[in-house]
Amino acid sequence: MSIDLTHMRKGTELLKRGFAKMQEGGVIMDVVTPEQAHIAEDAGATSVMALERVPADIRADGGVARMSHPDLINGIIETTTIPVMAKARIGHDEEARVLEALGVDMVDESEVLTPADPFYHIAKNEFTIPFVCGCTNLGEAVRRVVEGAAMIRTKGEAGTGNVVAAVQHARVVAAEIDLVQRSTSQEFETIAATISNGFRRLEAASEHTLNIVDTPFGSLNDVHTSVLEVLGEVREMGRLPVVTFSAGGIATPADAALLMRHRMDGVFVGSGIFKSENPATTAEAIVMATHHFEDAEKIAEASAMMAGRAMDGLEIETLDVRMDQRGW
Amino acid sequence: MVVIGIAMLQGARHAHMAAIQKAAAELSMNIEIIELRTMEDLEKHPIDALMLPGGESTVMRLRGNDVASQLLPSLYEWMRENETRPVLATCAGAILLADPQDGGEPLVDAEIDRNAFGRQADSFESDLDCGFPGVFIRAPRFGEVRDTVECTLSGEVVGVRRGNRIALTFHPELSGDSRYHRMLLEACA
Repeated sequence: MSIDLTHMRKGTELLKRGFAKMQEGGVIMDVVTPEQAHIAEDAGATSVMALERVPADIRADGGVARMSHPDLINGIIETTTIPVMAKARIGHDEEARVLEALGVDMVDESEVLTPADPFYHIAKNEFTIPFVCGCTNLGEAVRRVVEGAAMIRTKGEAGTGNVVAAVQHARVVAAEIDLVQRSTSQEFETIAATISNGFRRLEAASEHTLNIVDTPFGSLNDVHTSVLEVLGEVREMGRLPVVTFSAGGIATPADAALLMRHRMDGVFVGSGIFKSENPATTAEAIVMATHHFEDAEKIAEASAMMAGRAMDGLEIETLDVRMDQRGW
Repeated sequence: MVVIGIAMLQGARHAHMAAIQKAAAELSMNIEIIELRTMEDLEKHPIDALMLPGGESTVMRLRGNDVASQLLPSLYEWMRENETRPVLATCAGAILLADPQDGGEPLVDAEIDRNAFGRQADSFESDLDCGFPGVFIRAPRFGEVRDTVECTLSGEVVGVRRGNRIALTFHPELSGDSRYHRMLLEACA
């Protein structure tokens, strides 16, 4: 037993993206207590997301939502054998540093919490642990990958039990990937330039002509070069170059199967498990449907496993806060 | 035509499929990949070799043993019928071989601990003693090994072999080096 970890290469892009690949085909569940973490693990979650309140409660409570208390995250880390993720606010590098220090396996830079920076997301390339970030379209996804995200999830609309936004985002990303694949080289350059413009939001906040040159992710030139590289990978692969999950509104086994049909690599279920009437059976049923998404009989079987009602849902039009419009 | 089965229980399945395609191209071999989700998939498609990818072993046991799938018991049966059948198991797959938890004999005779190097922050890359690029992600760790040592890192066993079954605690499918995938295909010949 002489392996000395202090001299090994850690925190490489390969290790970060590799960690995300180990989640493929899986269900990642929001939990707020160690007991819930056990239920999730026993039901077959590939990871748990440790947080103080599920999105439905954050939405109901209103106010500023921040990173969870370290004691809560530690309590869940200590009781589970599967990976533990936790949420930091968009652009809040210090919350992410705290989560890294606590030993979480992946940080979710999440629109479910109140954003901390109106111009820039977290400089994720500077961390040892990997990040997952939300997107509503291809541009957001590419910008997050350029910033260092090892995994992408479509945002959906968290805490609603309404799957329509998740489907919307999956379709928009797929259609825009198709656009990139069909683009001429000139069109490709235009798409890349539009995506790079997302790094210049600060300019509009000044009464002067700023013409920013640097970003937290490197010079604007370097960032644009990275955008071209990532878009090139998208064109070649016909998909995002990182593992892509669905999130935001999944509440039933059929919802999970629907998003897997949209070629998602797996699903996050936030409020859908522990806001349902019988969380243990809901969790098992969603895991089963995600696994057998191509087999309608098994999805039917999974749907029948739910010993109680799914969470109550909300119409998107009635929402006071659209979490999917946070981040850019 | 060589038929490669891959357990689709959960985890880095597509990286394994890409790696085996690359290995087949390098060897100019024609292969067919069969995605195994249920016991019926294995009954319908006789396979020449098997890949057990990495992921979460807790999830794989649950999915592989549930009544809707029953894939794991049928894979154990397929392997136990003949130890010369080629198998490549990585990370969580290695755990399933060393610790089948089905009351039967282990498929490779070695003790194994889950996540024994620590959390994701401790995941690491390092060349093995044989020069192979090792990618270790929340990796398990072998304890006492009673089968053949396949490979080591700083003298510690990170790969175990019995016949044509290979259990690795690292991820050759992520490394870009297709030697282990070629080895699996060559064992089919």
